[in-house]
Amino acid sequence: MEPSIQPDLRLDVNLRSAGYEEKKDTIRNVRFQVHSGELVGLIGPNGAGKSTTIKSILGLLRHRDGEVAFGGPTGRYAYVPEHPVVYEYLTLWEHLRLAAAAFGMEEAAFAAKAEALLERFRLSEARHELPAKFSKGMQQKLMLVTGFMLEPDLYIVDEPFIGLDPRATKDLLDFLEAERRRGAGILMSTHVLDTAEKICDGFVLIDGGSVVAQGTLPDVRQTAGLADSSLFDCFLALT
Amino acid sequence: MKAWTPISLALDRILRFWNLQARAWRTALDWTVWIYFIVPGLLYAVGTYRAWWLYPPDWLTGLPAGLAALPTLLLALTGQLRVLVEEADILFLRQRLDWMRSIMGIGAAYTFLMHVLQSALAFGLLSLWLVRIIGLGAGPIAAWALYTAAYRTLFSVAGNLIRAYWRGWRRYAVLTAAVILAGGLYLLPVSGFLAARDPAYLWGAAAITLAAAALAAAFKLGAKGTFANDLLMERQAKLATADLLLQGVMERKPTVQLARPLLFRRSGRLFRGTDAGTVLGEARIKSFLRKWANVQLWFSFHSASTAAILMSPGWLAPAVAAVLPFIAAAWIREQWREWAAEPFISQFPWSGEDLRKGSSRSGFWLLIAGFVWLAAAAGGGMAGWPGLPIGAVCGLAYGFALLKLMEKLRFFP
Repeated sequence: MEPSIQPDLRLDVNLRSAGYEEKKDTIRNVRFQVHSGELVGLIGPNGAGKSTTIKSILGLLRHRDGEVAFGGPTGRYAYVPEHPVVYEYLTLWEHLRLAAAAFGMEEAAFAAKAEALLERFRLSEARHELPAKFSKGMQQKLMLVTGFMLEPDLYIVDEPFIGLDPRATKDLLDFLEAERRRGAGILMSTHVLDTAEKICDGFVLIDGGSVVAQGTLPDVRQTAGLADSSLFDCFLALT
Repeated sequence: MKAWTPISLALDRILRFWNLQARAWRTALDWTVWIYFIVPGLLYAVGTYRAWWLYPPDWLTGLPAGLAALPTLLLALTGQLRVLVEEADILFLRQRLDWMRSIMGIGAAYTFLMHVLQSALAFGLLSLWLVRIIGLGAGPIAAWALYTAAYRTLFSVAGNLIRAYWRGWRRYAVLTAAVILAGGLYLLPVSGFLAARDPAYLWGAAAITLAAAALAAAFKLGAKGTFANDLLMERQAKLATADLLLQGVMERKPTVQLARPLLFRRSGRLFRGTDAGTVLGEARIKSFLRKWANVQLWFSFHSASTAAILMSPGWLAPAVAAVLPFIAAAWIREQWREWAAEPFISQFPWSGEDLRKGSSRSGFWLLIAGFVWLAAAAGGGMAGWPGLPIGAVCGLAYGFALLKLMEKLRFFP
């Protein structure tokens, strides 16, 4: 993690270059910020560099030239990957317990918070079940619940809508909205542009490893030269 | 319910790893395998070892002492570092550097412990040679075993970092250079000891290597951008037993994956025709030749057949050369059936005629070279060098006629 950033910033990304091999940059000059209560959509065609950007932010790439700073009271983030990753041998309750232990949460506080979250997410019945049996939507809820319990300042969500039915999609959107109201920032990578257009405060449009447009929808429209167009049309024009 | 700590989590992961390995072995080693293979095998091995210990065989006494370093060198360079990370650590645990360092540190310590045990076992087996033939005592052997275990740990850390930092051909180049350098360095104190029979060489080397391994492990714990590679290594370690048990059954992923094929790199045409049967046959030939396992088997079969022909008496060789291609033809026919049934091929509405044409056309070109080869071998066996071209021409004519007859008789489906 990099040191101090502005108080309302939750993520400050300044990547000059990053890639999987030395001197073979996959992304270049990617700079953007996510503020408290802001939902930023990371948009781009397949192979544009969205996943590489996220991996760079998470510190998973060996070759990264740039700075990434996490802000907020705790500087914590929660990552919700596209394909659910869970501890196959831990029950839902044990996932929460492990997260609580890792961040020094007291037992009493953990139990109260975990109960409340399971109730809110309609997962109480499944607390002692292994997540390998869960549907994709439930596994995603597990990852979100684990994140919520730690009250992160930032969510990094990768393609959250794939494989979710409409009710699960609405649940997800409600959860993210509640976290925004709490003051968390959200960086969401997605291909579902019509949903992104409705819910995102800002966009970072990546193509060929570089940012081709960023800002609010009007900003993106201006860059694309398409007044009053949809995000979808701007995407097609710019990529 | 227990409260997790980094230590308890790491130990839990080690226990789960061994549980997984035990379950994998249990699937392969049922009571029949124990009764018919393992127990008799162990009894035989122990008996043989004891007999060799009491009466060392001549071939063992004749081996130079320096050769004893080779198996230990192999042991020193084939370790794997365990760091005990899991994919789900990316959700939240990775943010706790203290937890991750503790878990990985315990993994490194576990790695060293396992290397000590493996080294003890290996040197226990090598004692037959080291004690009875070379005349080493327990002290020098212990020093050598400890040195080897420490070196194995050190090289496993180095290997882990190399795999994390480099990709593609650079990774293999660096690994190869590292193996050569590390191998040479390992042998320096060993050869010094074997020449002077002074265990100080090995004790000193063990101490230095232990310190180096500890420093390397500390460096590894602080290294950035290695999580993805660590996950891959951990997955491989967990699946090592299953991989070993299935190695004769499962097709392996190629070591080097190319962006473009080596053969027909520009997707060029083999035949002029554009009808469905011709295109299908062309696709079949390319698929066959681009799969190394097929080419390997084709060459192996024809090499073995050549040996059979050359070992046959003069009058029999042409008959053998005429019959063996039928086996190859049957194989090619079965291969065609499997290929045509693959989802991408079978999704299209090929007519029976298209399939027959594709099958016979590809079969012809995949087999005709074999006919020529084996007939040339028969000719060469019978008449020396002049027999080679004569045999080849005969083989071409025979193969052409036979394959056309097979096509007429609808041998190729």
